[in-house]
Amino acid sequence: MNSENIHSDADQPCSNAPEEGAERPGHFAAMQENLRSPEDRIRMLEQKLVEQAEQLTASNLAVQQNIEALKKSKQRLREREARLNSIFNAASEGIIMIDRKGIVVTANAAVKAILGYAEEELIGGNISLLMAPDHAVKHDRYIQNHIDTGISKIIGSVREVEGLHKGGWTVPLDLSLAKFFIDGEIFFTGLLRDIRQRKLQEKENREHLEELAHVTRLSLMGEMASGIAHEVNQPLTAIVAYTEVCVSLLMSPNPDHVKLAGILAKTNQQALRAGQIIHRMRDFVRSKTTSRTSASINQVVKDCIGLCSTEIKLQNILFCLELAENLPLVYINEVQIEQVLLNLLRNAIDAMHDLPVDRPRRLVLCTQLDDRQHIEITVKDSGPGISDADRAKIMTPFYTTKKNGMGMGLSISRSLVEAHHGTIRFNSQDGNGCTFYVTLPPKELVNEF
Amino acid sequence: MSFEQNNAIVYLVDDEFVIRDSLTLLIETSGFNIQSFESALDFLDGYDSERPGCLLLDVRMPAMSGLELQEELSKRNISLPIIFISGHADVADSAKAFRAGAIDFLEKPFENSVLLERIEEGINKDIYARTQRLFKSEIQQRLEQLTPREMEVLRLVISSHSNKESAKILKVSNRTIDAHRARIMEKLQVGSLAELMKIAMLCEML
Repeated sequence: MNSENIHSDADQPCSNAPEEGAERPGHFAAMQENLRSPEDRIRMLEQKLVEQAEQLTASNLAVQQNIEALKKSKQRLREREARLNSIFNAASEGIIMIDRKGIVVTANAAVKAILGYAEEELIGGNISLLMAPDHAVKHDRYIQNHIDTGISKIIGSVREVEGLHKGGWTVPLDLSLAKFFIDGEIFFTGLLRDIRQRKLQEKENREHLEELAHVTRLSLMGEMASGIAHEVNQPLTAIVAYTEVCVSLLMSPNPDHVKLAGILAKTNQQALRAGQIIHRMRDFVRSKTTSRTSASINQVVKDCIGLCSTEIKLQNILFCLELAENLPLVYINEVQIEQVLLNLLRNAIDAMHDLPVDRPRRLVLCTQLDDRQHIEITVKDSGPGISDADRAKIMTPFYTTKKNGMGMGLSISRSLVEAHHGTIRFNSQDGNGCTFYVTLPPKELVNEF
Repeated sequence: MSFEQNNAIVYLVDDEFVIRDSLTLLIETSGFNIQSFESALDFLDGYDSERPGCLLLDVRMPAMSGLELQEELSKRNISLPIIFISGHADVADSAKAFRAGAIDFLEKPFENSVLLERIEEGINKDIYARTQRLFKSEIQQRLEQLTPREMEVLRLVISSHSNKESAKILKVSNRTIDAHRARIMEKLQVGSLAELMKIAMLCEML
């Protein structure tokens, strides 16, 4: 805004004035013919002059008022723009507008704080500058796709993305997108929120859960140690005996090579079996578990059973495994889910420990798809069930019904399952066994969380 | 090996196949007869009480545990020497086993030489026990041939009474006691007082 504009505005009413005057001369001439005396004519002229002056003054006043109004509205617009500008630049969220080609039209001050680039460095350049390379190359196509199809996964929702800082490192961001049109031309506005702090918090929470899970895993393994020792000692015993037989055969005058090979093959198998048990156990007690990977839930279930089969056998439990085929893969931290299942199996075994001899001891483990197409793992026992009083409390930390229990098993299991976007619930009637249900989303649904 | 040793049999009861398979091979290779069973109940069905032997028994098994089988054998008066083999040493289990007369309690995995020594020990123990039982029942039969009067004399003799004292107690002559003693020695097929004392001890008359 400048003074030139004000002048040009003020010129307008003036340029209209002669037009008004142009109408008057006709009317004025007609009157002139009726007047004869020069004095009269002068008086008339004077009168007209006065009237015209008054008219001009009045219209001048109106123009003045118009100018004032315009000035005020200009002022209001400036104030509004300043206010919006201050919000635009004071926002902690980065705001970037781009056109249909991905060229930055404007960016606010927060963008510099978040990603290191000043507005002038961005304007005119492609937005892909702010993205990790694998994303950047696809971005133009994303926009074009959206323009062509009108479909977008991201417009109207918030999504986590990684921005590329000027310094070369990535910054986790929450990104929300809106589109708008100016003269039929499409533009996009992106709001970026720096979520490093939240990510850090999430990481700390995760690590905390991880540590807690490790401690409870160790204690679970402690409870199962004798069963596992037994499990390892069996193949070792066999190996010791087989190898001794091999030595005897070799010392004989005519060693039977076929028999020897057969025994050595069996020895080999038993050594592998012992190794597998140790391996599984070592994985299980490791403090840093591997990150999430694609896994077959049935394989995880089988690994679990490998760690407690001895216990099941020795307690005279009839074990039934019902694994659904062709289940979708899950995306999980295998050790943690194994821990959840092992804990449920352990509870089921313990629950049936003191059953009278004539009561059946049955343990059923199933995998299947539930109504929502999530994977459901069911652990069902024929133990005494959970009493009314315990039912509300068994999921709370440090609550236990076992003599030597820590009271962390179920509560940590719930945290672990929920960290996998799954659920854990149970169904039990006093005196009538108990069933636990764990659900996990299939891998292809995990991205939606 | 004596005839009894050749005829002896090692029974193995373990619910796990590889243990039965490997120990069967080992024990066979070492020259013993072996018969293995998957469960305690199978063993009770298949046990041949006529043959000397010993029992290699797993502690923890479903249905009937090794310790329960030991109890059952004792109830049935089967005095088969038992060597326990266990996946993990449990003090309470091993104490119970030893109290009930087990030869040993071996923790898996064990040294084969130790196992084979114990097996031999068990078999010899069974053979000896069987010989003793056989001898005892034979003596018992001989004792039954004695008249009541001869039994009276025998009791006095083995409780260190001289002929003279015995004669006095029984109010008979020394010569009568002499005659009784000769009859007793003949019927019991012994040649000396020392042998007589040994039989008396074996038959728990002392």
